[in-house]
Amino acid sequence: MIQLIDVNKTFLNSPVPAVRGVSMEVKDGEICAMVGPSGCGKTTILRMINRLEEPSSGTIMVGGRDIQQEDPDRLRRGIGYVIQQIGLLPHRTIGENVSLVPRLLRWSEQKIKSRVINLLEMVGLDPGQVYEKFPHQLSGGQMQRVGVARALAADPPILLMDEPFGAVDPIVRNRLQEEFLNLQQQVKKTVCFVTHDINEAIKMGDRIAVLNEGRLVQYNSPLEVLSHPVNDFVVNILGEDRGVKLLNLTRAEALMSEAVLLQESQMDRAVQVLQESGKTVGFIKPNGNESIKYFTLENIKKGMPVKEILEKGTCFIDGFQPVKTALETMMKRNSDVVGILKEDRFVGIITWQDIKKHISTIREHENEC
Amino acid sequence: MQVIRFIISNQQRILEYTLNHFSLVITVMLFSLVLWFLTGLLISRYQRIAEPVLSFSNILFCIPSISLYGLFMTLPQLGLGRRSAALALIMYAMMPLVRNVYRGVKSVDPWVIEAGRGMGMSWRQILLEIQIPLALPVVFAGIRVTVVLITGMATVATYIGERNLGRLIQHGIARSDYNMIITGAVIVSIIAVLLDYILGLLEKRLTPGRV
Repeated sequence: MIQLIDVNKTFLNSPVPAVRGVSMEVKDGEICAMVGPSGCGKTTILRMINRLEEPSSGTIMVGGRDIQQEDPDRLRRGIGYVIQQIGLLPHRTIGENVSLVPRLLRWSEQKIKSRVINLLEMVGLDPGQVYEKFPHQLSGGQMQRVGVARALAADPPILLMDEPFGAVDPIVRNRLQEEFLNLQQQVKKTVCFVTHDINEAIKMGDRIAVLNEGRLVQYNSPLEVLSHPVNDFVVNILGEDRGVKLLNLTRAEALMSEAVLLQESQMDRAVQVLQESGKTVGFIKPNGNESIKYFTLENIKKGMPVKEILEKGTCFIDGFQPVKTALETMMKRNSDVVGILKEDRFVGIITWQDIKKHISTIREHENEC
Repeated sequence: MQVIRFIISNQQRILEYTLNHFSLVITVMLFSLVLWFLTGLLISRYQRIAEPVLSFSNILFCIPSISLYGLFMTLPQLGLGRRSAALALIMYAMMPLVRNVYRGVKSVDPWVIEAGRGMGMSWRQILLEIQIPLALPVVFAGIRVTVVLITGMATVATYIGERNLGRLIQHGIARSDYNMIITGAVIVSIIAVLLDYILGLLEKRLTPGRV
């Protein structure tokens, strides 16, 4: 766990403090994405955690211990550090680069070698191919993988990443982001991830710390930040397409109308059955391979006979997928409804109306603030 | 042909001069390397003194060699001969050595150093494992220039009593003896080229794996 308690930093020769009164906590195994415009203090905060900078005042605790009490070099050996510029030693092979911290910690040669090979595989590199190569023989994406492997080498509980994927092209960046998230599932590090890209922050962060002029403006889950931005600055940094981004973070099942199962014989009393169950969607158990037929209370209220309003459900998505996927499916199939499946069972539908309603609640909130 | 005949008939003297010349250059280089290498490292670490030190070395370098020899010679502790010559040459070696060590260390990608610090390398480890190895190509360029320079300048030390190859040239000029001049000049050149070549080989050995 990383704790910052009222941390301030003013650089020499600078009239303005770089970090002002920041208190926050990064829980074990979580990725905290720090985002903000350049000069907002995010990198300074990161560099204070491994004491590359010293705070002017305040306390930083790592794993429950005040880092001021520790030897800086020893502290850093226990914290992985990845930077945009990577900083591989150009005169050392990839194997030597990755083994840097284990060597500083005086591991045995045998242990180092097997660890390095293991790590290179973990970050998606072929050890046989790259082990003896020099950094300049690798592509940008490969080099950054080596950078990540090097940071993980001594299995530190904490990882500091300063715009780690900022220097590679968008396609490679996307892949590296996803690979890192997968890797994080296995290694469960406590990560501070600095970025200026709000999309990256939303994608990578379990929590997002929005910073401006050295102050922590908001610190919440991506969902919370997107749905309840605390002020105009956060709204601005989230961008025009905040609603769309939010759709990406909401699971389809959260907006779904639950369905009730009707027998063919109950069709005549459909309205009654629905109302009794308090649900708005009914569906008919299909015979054999037939596709699901369902109807909505809304259509019945319009006075259409049930037989006519039966819609054939042909497109379905899994409930855990984001609303954005539902929207996309609707557009692709030119349909207003998408069926929701849970463990391969039809459980409800999500309609274009539901999504619109969801977006309008976001907008209402926006008007409030 | 006449040159060869001259060399053969003056074997003893030429050998003595050559050895003297060679040993002066080596002595100067050894002292200079230790002294100016450390100075270069020092000013790259303490930025504030870098500018004055480099300016001072530039000024030293601008003094004509013969006047520096002359000045040192007049100091009672130094006098005629090797001590004054060596000291003057060490002074000349300052500029190319200090400047190249400084430039070499400064040319190391700061992000590599940042990464090294972030990984928990001590400043000594960063110096020995990152800065010095990466500065080596530039440092070697400085050493090679200096060796050639010192070998040439050492000839002038004949005027303050050094018995080296410069003496062949000096006396050759005085006596209009072309064979003597050519012999001195050629051997000086050979020493310079040879030392430069050896350093080149050494450089290759010490800086593997880079483009």
